[in-house]
Order: sequence, then structure tokens, then C-alpha cells
Amino acid sequence: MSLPAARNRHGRNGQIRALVIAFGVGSLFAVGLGVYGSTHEPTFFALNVAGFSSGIAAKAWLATGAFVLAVVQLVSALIMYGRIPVRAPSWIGTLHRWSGRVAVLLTVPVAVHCLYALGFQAGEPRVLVHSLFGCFFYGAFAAKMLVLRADTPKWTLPVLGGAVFSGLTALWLTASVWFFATSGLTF
Amino acid sequence: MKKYAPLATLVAVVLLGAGLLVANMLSNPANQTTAAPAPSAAAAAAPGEPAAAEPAPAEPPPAEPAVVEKAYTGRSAGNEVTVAIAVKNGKAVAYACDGKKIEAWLEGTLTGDSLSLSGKTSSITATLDDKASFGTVTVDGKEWPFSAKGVASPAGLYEGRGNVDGVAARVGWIVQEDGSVTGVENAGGTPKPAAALDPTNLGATMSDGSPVTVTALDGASTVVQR
Repeated sequence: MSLPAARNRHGRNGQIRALVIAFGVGSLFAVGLGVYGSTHEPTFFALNVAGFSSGIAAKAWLATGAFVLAVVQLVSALIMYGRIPVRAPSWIGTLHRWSGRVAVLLTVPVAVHCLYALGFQAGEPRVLVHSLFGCFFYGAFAAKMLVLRADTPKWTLPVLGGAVFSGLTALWLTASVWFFATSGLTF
Repeated sequence: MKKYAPLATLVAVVLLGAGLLVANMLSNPANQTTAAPAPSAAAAAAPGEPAAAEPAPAEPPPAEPAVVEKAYTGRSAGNEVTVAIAVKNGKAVAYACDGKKIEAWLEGTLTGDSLSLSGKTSSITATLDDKASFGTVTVDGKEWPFSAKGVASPAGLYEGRGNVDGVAARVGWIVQEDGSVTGVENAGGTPKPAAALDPTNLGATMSDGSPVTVTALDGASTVVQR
């Protein structure tokens, strides 16, 4: 992907520096969220999103929307990398970028509710896994955004993209799917 | 421009998150009561309380706590609320609730025989000895005299934490010496009568079908986080 000329200009040190910055900032995001979530007193209060029966239902559906877009992300990325034997349409990059932006923005109100009203919790396995992946997801996302335009090794982008997708899937399974399974498909 | 597009996405996410967090903080009723210019005497008194309580330990040589470790349970004079207090090594925690919708968690100190505790919108001042504690409990501006007896386990103060319908819930229970239990569960800021508690089988506590982790509190517990 990166041109040989560019690689020569920045050299191996440049690559390593970009990699350290991206992973460092990503780690700071993840740890920072975890620290905030576990140190502040859960308020048990949060703004409700209009149009849903409860804050929890709103969260579950926002996350489901994000997950559907994440699947779009996965498929469009596979097409761009030539892993799906179809001719990549010219708009595939735009689709990938905008579906990703919308997906991550959909997750933000959900995450803010989690952090502000509930915090980092370890009371039961589902909740612990969800808390850990919540921190991991935003760390991986930040790292991926920083890697996109940086001169880092080729493997970093698909690895981080895969990490972001896996993180969101785990979050969706431990929250939305759990909610729909226990409370039914409520809006 | 294109070079910074991912960075712009990252910044947008951070800004949206920060904006929502601030919106939440501003509209949180708990924050508004302290921010509003004295809507009630209690709210005005509450923020000043820690400051008023602080100088006390600085006075003469602080007296040794009269009781090292003990739990007390009782009720207000007109049975408006039940009260539980636990002391340990000069520290004290308390919980007051009516079993329906009034509740308050408090923390403070025991100096000599005088107790001084405060919570977000509540306070307790009392004296105690080995057998009983007498004083005044104030919750959300309402003030009641109370009496509480020194009790032994399983009577005392219990706290439960769990996820009920996906919402983090906190429960307080007071078990009196005669075995009667009062408690309030708070989930999503809405208080309601607590689920049943069997002090001899804490592990079986359930609320609306979800397990609740229950612990018996002593005076050194943390119940008010700042």
C-alpha cells in the first residue's frame, strides 16, 4: 500500500514511531475509560433518548444499528482487500468510511450512558466482559484512526480493523442480544 | 484535508462523547439540587456540612471512640424511617430508609461518644454507648429524632448490588433485632421497595429475577463515594 519511496524516506524508525503513537494513544483511551468508569460513583441517572420505552431499549437498538453498519464495514473492507471475488465498485471506499463514521457515532450515546450511569463493573461475567470490551473498543478505534494515514506496517490496518469489529461484536452480544433475549424485542 | 479525515472522525467522537457527558451532568437532578440557589434549607445546609464537621476533630485532643465496633438499628420517633448505624475504629456508616422511597447513605466519624455523619442530602448527629444510640436524622430537609439499639448479627445493615433489567441497582436493607427488614432499591435513580432479604441466606437474594450481591456492612465500609 505505502509506496517504496515513502517507506525509504521515513525508514523503519518512522514506522515504529507511528506504531508506538497509535498504540500508545489507543491504550490511553482504553485505560482512561476504564479508570473513569471504575472511580466515579455510578449516578444511576442519564438522559433518555426520545422515542424509546426505556434508556436500555434505546441503547440496545443504537448498538444494533452500529453492529449492522459494522458488518457493512467488514464486507466492504474484504472487498477492498480483494478477499471477496467481486469487482470493487468505485464508491466502496466512501461506503466504508461513512458507514464507519455513522457506526462509531451511534455507539457514543450508548457508551456515555454506560460510563456515566453505570460505570465499570465486574459483578458478573457478562458485565465484566462487556466492561472490558467497552474500554478495548474505543482504544482500538483510536489506534485505527491514527494508523489510517500514518506510515505503519501493512498488517496494522486490518489487524486493528478486525479488533474494532470484534470488540463491537462482543459488546453487542453481551448487551443488546442479552437484552433482547431477556426482555424480548422491545422498542 | 484527506490526510486528517480519520483524525477529524476521532475528534468528532471525542467531542460528541464529551458533549453528551456534560449534558448528562447538567441535567442530573442530583447535581441540580446542589447547584440551584438554596431551593430548600436542607440542600443549602448539606454542602456546608462537611466544612462544619471538619473543624470538630481539630478541637482539643480527639477523644477515643467510646465503642470500637458495633451495629445499631432503630427507627425515628414517629416511625417515618428506619435507621442503621455501624461503627468501627472511629469510622461510621449509616443508612436510613422508609422501605418505600426515602433512603439515604451516610458516612462519618465517631469521636468519643458523638457521632457525626453526612450523605449527599442527609446528615445524622447522635450520641452512643455500648447499648444504644440517640440522635437526629435529616433526609432531604426533613428532620426526625431517632433511637437505635446496639444489635448483634444477623441484625444490622446490608448493601446489595446487582444488575436488574440491565440497570445497575443498589439496595440498602436494615434488619432489626426482631428480624423485621426494611429496604429500598435504587435503580436508574428511581427508589422502590427492596426485594426480600433473608439475612441467613444472602446468596439467594433476587430482585425481579436478577441476582443481587449482598454484603453486611461494618463501620469501615465505603457507602458514599465522592
